Amino acid sequence: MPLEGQAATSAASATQGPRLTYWDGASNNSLTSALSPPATQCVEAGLPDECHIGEPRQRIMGHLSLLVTTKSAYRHPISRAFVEAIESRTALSNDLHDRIYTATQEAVMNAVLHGNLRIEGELRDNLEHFVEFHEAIERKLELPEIAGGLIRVDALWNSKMLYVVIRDSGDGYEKADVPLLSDTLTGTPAGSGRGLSILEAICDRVVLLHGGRAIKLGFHI
Amino acid sequence: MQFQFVSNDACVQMTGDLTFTDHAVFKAMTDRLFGGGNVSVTMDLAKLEFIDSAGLGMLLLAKDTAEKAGRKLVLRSPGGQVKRMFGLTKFDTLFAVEE
Repeated sequence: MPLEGQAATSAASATQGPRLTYWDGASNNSLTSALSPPATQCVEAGLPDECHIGEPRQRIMGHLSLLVTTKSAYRHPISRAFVEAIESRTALSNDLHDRIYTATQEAVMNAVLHGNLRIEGELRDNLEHFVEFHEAIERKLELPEIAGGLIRVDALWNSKMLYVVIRDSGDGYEKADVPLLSDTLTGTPAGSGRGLSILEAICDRVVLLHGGRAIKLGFHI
Repeated sequence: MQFQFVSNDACVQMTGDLTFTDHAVFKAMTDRLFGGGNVSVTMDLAKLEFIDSAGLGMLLLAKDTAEKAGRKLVLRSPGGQVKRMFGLTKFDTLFAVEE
């Protein structure tokens, strides 16, 4: 079992196989510690073994995986910690860092709100409903079956490309159901609906996978 | 995201990240910003380090709320990733943005 309050490297890390660490879910600092090299897989402590992460199938130079609950993905800035962990393994320009961080944040937000919490945008489209929106999230996060839903983030890179893949446990969505960025800038101001368009603007490649339950973001490096 | 009011509540300085977890704190901030008697109010973004699409949506709704109340909302000094997102989404054409 992982130690309380700190990352614990598994016995597997002593070999050439996956280097598994556990995050205690307690703080940003402990997440940064759990994601630090030489970890290749970081799993939130307490998740069942069958949830754990397999090895990537393709030949790559580097990879890093993070598996957390919905509650932790909402409570902690996991995107920031994850992108900083990538940067500690492969050099990123400031521009690339900003684009990867922005895109990962967008995709994690979508995975948490629409995927696992299944909260649609209506309450976010009126400032007067923001507190109600916040309270709706908090109520859902009190339900173990929802709070414990999984969010997985993978990064894979070689000398030319870096990919970030974000997966959720939701029902997925169709690209045709997402408004165009130009549509969100006209008519009634909307508090939501820009995420996918922003991804397509800042990523070199965007692919929806598994019926919208996963998204693969590609960047030239 | 954290915030601090200055100039008799006519200006609020925002710091940190404005993201999808900040709806309640943003509402509390705008309640105070729009609750005073100032016709023109400013959000100072110089120390705001990061914004996601949810944060952009909050700003757009705040602008709409201000206009309906006969107020003008000015965004001041966006930089770095925030400025880049403004350009990307053409927010810099929708808002009064002071450099």
